[in-house]
Amino acid sequence: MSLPYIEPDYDIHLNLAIVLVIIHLLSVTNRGTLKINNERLHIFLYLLKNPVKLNGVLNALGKGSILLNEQSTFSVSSISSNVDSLFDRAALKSLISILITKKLIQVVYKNKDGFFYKITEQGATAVDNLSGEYVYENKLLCEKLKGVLSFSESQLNQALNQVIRKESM
Amino acid sequence: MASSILINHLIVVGRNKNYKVDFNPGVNIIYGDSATGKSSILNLIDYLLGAKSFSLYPEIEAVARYAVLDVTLNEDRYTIKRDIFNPTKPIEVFPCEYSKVEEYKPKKYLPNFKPNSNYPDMGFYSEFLFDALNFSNVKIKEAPTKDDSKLVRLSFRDLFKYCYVDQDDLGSKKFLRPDNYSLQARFGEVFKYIFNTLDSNVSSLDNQISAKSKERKKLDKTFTTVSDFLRESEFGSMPALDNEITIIDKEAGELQDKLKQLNTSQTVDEEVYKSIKAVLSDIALNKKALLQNMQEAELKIDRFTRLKNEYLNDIAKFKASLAAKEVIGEVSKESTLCPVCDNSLEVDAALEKFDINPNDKINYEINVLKRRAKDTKSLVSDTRLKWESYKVKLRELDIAESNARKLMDENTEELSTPYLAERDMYVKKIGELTQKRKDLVERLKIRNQHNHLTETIKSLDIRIGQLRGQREELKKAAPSMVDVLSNLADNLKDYLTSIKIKSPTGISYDEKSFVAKLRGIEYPDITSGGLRTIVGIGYLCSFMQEALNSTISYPSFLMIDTVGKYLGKTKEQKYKPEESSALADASEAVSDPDKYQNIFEYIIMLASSYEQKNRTCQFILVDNDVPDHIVDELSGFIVAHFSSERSNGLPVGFIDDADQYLAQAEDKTNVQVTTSYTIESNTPSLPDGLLSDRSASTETPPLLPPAPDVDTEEES
Repeated sequence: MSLPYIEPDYDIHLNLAIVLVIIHLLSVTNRGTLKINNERLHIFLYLLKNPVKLNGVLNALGKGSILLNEQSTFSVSSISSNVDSLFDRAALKSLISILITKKLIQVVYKNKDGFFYKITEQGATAVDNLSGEYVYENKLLCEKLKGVLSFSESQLNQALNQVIRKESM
Repeated sequence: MASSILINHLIVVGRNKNYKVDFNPGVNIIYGDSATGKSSILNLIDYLLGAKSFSLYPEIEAVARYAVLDVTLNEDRYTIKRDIFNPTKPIEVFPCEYSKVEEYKPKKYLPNFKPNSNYPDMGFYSEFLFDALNFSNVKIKEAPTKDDSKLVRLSFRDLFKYCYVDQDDLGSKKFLRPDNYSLQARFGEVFKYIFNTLDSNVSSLDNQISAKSKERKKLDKTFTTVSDFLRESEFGSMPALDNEITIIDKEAGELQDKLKQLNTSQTVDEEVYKSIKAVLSDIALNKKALLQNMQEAELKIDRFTRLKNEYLNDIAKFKASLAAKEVIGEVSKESTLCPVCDNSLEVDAALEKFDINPNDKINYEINVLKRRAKDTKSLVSDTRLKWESYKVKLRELDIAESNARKLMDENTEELSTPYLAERDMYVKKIGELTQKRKDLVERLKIRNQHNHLTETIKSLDIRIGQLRGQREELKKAAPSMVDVLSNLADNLKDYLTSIKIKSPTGISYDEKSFVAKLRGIEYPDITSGGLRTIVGIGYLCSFMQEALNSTISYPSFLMIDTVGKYLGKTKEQKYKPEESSALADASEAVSDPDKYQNIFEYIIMLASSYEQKNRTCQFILVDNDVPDHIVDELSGFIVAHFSSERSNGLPVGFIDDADQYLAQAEDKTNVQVTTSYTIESNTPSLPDGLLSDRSASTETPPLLPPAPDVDTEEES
């Protein structure tokens, strides 16, 4: 299906970049605990793409809010709520595959907790080299998201549900 | 027109049967032994014609319920019904003969002139009789010589005195000249009334003069009283009142003008108010439109801004994509093996979900978006400018509106309020003036009324003068009393001559007392009782004769009780002459049966002359019994039917008892001398068993003492 214009949210490189940023900034806590598994990665990817909702989740979890620029809050997409990507696990897995083949991330298996993702050196360099307004913005958001790493996946899901329901009402 | 009373039947309605006496036109003779109730028949007739009372006697009280008189008054037949136990009860008059009373409703009349509170609107019986006889209903003076004498109603009873002489009055000295002076005066007035010398016109003129004189006196008094009152209460004279009214009218006019002006200015103010209101509604409309525009503009700004931001976001995203491509490198379509599980990692799956855009395409898209963002931005700023201008306009309108409101408030509060107060004041003042004017006009009316009194008095004076003149003229034109008296004297002379009394000379009527004179001696001074009886009957017969010759107010009806009183011919003399009178009677030879017979003959002759002139008259004569020799002499047949020996039937109702008999004609073919007069006939065969029993005991003396034939004639 080809549209007369291209939709940036479905650009593969953009999505790869965001996933890389998430893994780079959030995969390991200060204490060295691995945090990013498929579940968290999926939620964070959605939140970064919808900063208004990210703000809502932060609020819901009692982690304050971030100052968003008008550009991201006052837009057409900010008042529409497209939750399709939240249920598309396959798309995310395909992105992970690509990043692994490129040796930008690695997969770590942890007893009981399953698989976690971790950035490689090559990957960290790549993130540092990523420039531009949008990436910078996402990095800032990821810094904010560090505060929610201590919450379990179910807590995150609950908060996200709450925010989406509120908006759709 | 000649008037007449013709009695057809007298009926006493009893509990078991009715007791009836039939009468005929002309002469009717009732005769029988004393105390047989002959007089009570006359009394009943008298009572039914309005006498004050009827003396009941035990027999009638035992059987009777009420009495009825079937009578013809002039041309009309009436049946008169009266309670015999209660004389004050209204008398009922049916306009028909007795046999038809069931078909008519009676008219009721009061028996005397006393107003009865039970029947406030009822007429008087006397007036009915006067009307029926076509006599004028008049009032007569108590004191005939005085102008303002009190007037009393002439009663039928006054008149009837000349139609009915009972056995006490006949031959009595007081018959024609009562002792009482006022009664004498009244007799005189009635006498004048009968002969039209007291013409009803004169009488009514007297009436009017008297009434008007009284009215004038009353008005005089009223005028003085009112004058005094008006003066004392400072009522204000007529010119003063007029002046005040003029002033008030002027003031009221001015106030009205002011009010008119006020009303005009109010209209102007109203127009201003209206225009302000119109402006205000315009402003409100504009404001509404502006607000709507502003809202639309706001919506546009919102949408465009969002769109612009979206574009900017997309640009950022594309730039990031370009940068990522540089860092991460192209996504190769080669599949690599998983280092852990050796499964091939397929890139194809990713390619299904995501786009791999070439750089130039992305750059192109970025440029397009930038342009769009720019356009949208300018659109936003344009709309924002428009919004600003709307805002300014709105503020202007707000100011204009508040100004208009203020103006309107000023208009209503600062202009209308004092205006209303002013208007109220004017209206109040005008109201006060109108009221004052009304009062003054009322006062003027009173003044006018007062002045009118003077005029009324003046016109009354004139009217009284005119009436006096009229009365004088009428008196002159009226038949002269001298003529009347001489006619009457002639009649009396004819009578006395035919009776054949000794020396019928010096016959005249007194000009003042209207008493008959024989041989220059007034009736009361005649010593012979028999002669007085003869003259008394002649006196009344002269009335009958005169009623035939000329039109007078006399009903041609005469009832004489005990014709032969003092004549010494009856077997049982009820009325014994006094000693002196007895001597005089002897010298006058009044007991000569010829004389007695002559009286009857004269009366029969008089009745026949009525008949010849086709006029109606009725004589009802009562006597105890007629001596046989007279009966023989008197054309035989009259007496033949009335001899006491043969009178065996007796109407129970009238007579004390069954053994008393009223002169009864056993067959109805009464004796007729000529054609006109008939002799009284009684109810013929009486089937009543009781009566029959009693009839058997003829000639036996009455079981009960005879009821006194009391005079029931009303005393005036």
